[in-house]
Amino acid sequence: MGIDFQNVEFKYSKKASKKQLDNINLHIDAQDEFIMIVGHTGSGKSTLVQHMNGLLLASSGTIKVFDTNMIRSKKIKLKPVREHVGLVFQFPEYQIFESTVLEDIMFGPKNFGKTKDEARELAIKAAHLIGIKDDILERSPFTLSGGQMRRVAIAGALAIDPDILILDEPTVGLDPKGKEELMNLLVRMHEETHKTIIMISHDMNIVATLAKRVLVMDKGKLVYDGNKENLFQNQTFLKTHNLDLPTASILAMGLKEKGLITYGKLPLTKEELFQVITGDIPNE
Amino acid sequence: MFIEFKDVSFKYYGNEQNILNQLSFSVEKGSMLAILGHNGSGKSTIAKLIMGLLEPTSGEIFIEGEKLNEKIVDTLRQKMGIIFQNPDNQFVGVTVKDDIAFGLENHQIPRDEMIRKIDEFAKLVDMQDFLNENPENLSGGQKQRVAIAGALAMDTDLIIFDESTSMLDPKGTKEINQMIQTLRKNYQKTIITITHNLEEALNADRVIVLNDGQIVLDGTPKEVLKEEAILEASGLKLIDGISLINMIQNYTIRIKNKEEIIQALWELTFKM
Repeated sequence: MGIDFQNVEFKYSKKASKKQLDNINLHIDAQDEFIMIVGHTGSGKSTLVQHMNGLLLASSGTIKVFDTNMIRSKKIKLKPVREHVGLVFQFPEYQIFESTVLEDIMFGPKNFGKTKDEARELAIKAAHLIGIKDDILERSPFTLSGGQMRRVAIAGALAIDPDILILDEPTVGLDPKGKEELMNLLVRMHEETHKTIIMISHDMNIVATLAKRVLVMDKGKLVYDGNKENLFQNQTFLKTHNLDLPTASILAMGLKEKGLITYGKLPLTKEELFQVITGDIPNE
Repeated sequence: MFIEFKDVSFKYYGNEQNILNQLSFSVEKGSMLAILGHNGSGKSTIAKLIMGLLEPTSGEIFIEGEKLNEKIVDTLRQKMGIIFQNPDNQFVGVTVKDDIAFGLENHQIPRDEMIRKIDEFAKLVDMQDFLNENPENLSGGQKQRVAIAGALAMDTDLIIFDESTSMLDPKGTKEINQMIQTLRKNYQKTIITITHNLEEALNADRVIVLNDGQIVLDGTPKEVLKEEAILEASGLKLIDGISLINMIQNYTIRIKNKEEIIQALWELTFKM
């Protein structure tokens, strides 16, 4: 179960010479994964995730999403696929349109054939999961802050109760506190529900703190699939694929170069670097 | 003095609460001011007031010594360029070349000089290979760079960056920040950057932090960016390097090379 990619290739047209996805092989579990997808702009990150819920279909190769073979055919049913895999776009708050927060979150489940009462129940559950308090459920979404609106949009995807939730740069444009709150909520939701989270991000500090598994895309190819520790240790690889280091790692390397600290394993977070500097556990 | 705010307050008509409350600050000619604040702190309202798009409810704004009012707002506005948050909202030309030319045409510059200037500005923002491209086909960072070239073409003294990197990837952000330094050093532009990214304030001459429409911090980047409690209360977060410096300073047990490490962390943070 989950998502399987085998030799997947995608081009916008048969004649196109450029492969947007090039020989992708990948398995994603239906539970407990926290995957972050990185790569510079245009590397194929968004194209990849759009294949995971049938927004795009492969030009060749096979994709299986839960029980569905994702083939180009009139008979393919995308509804069950989208009940398993929810996708939240960039700036999802632009797609909010209902007059109250609750109605907006209920739209998804209603669309999937739930009764009004069922949809309401699912919506309230989803709202709680992503930290939306009851007192704003009856408010107009357009009176909310950017960070709150984004949570409403994410709750809309969660209300369908997907096994896997994909988010395309969920923190972009949020201020530092909004960013931190949203990431904490997503982590808490993941720990409570065991849903697999797949997140596209450019923020290496978030990757260094939270990712259980990292996928690196470059020119349509999946060039890395593994843990963050091995990824950030490999300077040559990062340079080849235009990837930044987390801030703490850059600072650590600078301090080491000046002969002020020594370490075996490169620190990835501020807390790890502090531990190296003090030889102790951070007192936060 | 390029810009001076004297006790400026602003609220929208019919609203009880002030969006900006008794702000006083000034920006020297050729310097860079960073205005930090969380989303909704009122920081973008400042840009609209400077541009004369909004009028203060009370207080006064002076631009190059002249009081900003209805009569002179059009003349003063010609001294200002603004780069917005959304790169898609600011193009007038069908090609990059047209877009840069628009500003030059407004100044009635002879054709030969115009061609030379378009080349100069396109090169400066590293877009010389895209002159005949439709701006719509460019990446976010490239679009913002074309907008900067457009502001240069208008020959404005002041350029305001209003959250102009918040929709860009790290590479685009870095490019814009490097460009801001070039505009200051080589073109003596006065820069105001409005942002919630503390990294972008590192190179400013002066930083002010806004919360609930009030200035809660005002000083050099080194003074302001270490004020953990006030920044946190203002919805902002310390940069990792500076956060580490605070952690080290508050640590009671002896740390080997403590002062050298703190010094090095400052240097590394400012180099980033």
